[in-house]
Amino acid sequence: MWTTTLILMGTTATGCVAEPSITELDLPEQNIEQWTLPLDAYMPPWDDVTRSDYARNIVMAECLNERGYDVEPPWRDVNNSTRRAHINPVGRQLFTEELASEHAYGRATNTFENIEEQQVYSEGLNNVDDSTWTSCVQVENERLPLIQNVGFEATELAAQASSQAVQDAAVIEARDTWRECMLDVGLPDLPRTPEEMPPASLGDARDGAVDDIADPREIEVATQDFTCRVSSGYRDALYEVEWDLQVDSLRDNIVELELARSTLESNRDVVNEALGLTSDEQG
Amino acid sequence: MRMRNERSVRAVFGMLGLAVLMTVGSGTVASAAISDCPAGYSCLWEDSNYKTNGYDWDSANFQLYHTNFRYWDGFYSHPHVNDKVSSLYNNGRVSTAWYYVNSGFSGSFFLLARGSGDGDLGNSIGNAPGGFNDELSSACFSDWC
Repeated sequence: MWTTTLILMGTTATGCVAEPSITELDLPEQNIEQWTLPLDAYMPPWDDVTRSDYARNIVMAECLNERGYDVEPPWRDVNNSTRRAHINPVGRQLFTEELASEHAYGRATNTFENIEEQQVYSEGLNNVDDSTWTSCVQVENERLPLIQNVGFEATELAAQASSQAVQDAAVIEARDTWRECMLDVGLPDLPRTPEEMPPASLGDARDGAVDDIADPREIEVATQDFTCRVSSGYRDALYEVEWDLQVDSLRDNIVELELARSTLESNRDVVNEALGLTSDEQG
Repeated sequence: MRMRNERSVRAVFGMLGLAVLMTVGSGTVASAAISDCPAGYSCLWEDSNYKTNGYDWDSANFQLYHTNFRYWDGFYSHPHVNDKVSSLYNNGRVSTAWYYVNSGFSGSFFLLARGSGDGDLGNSIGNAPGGFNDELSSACFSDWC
């Protein structure tokens, strides 16, 4: 593991919007298990999104109560993350040895204890008449002034890096080695690339309701898949190339990205205030 | 607005308990497309401006999550939304929706807050970032990903 430091320069101000002063940018520590990438800091964290949704639901319920609807969103412990183990902090799906051996290609165990109640609650809201719902959305926006669409730049840049990374020569070479390694597992429709796993012959190996229960064949294939990704060098190569591409994107777009990060933090403050959280209680 | 001459098909896929609602109509009704997206659903269209082949009612809709948009192929003749979504709307009531380029909620992704949509994934204008037109293969509401 290592940390790279980019030295950047420039302090600017445009109109009334102060652009960030950036003299030094610390990249996150590499973590292939969590597939941590440089642009992650500029994307909305999963926990922020769920907290924001919860805050919006509370405000919406208050408005609906004022209009005669007896509703209350299921309680969510905002001090602890409900993000499942197969999802990284910004929403990227993970594929690790542990996940492969327990869940194959499926989802990890749900950690939001009120998920079923949440679904019932959601379905109940479908009966709210359109005009009431629309008026309460307006109220919600006033009481919880969040700036929308924050993190677009990073999301777009991350997608570009991801699609470019799989076309890198080193990644393609490792991909071919991975495929040779996977021949032993006996899949009639073995994909060309790990990104296309699992194939149709495994059925809907990513199915499941609240919690996935993988069958032995799925686990066999998934664990072999993980082993081959490692032994072929595919996993490391893809991570390194994607990392490097994101560093380039970060360097080229740092001003816009830092503005977005500032807005993400502002939104977080609004949500935390609405939920009565202090900075020390953000899970 | 409500569709006329419509038939609704609710398919339960295997043991998933995954409810998928497809609506297929005669196209006799024109309306603002977003209003055709049922409350509690996220709706996907093959073309921009919330239409598929000119019809705003012709969307593929899901609740909770959909692990693989290819499932819609085969069960129905239309729409074939896998890797063909060009506009979409999150009409969910409680959660942000996450949209992924690969099946099983993997690969690159973006999110849409509830009550928001994007009429053209082919550009960076709107509520979704650019680069995702004709790319999506799975999606989920937050707690169901």
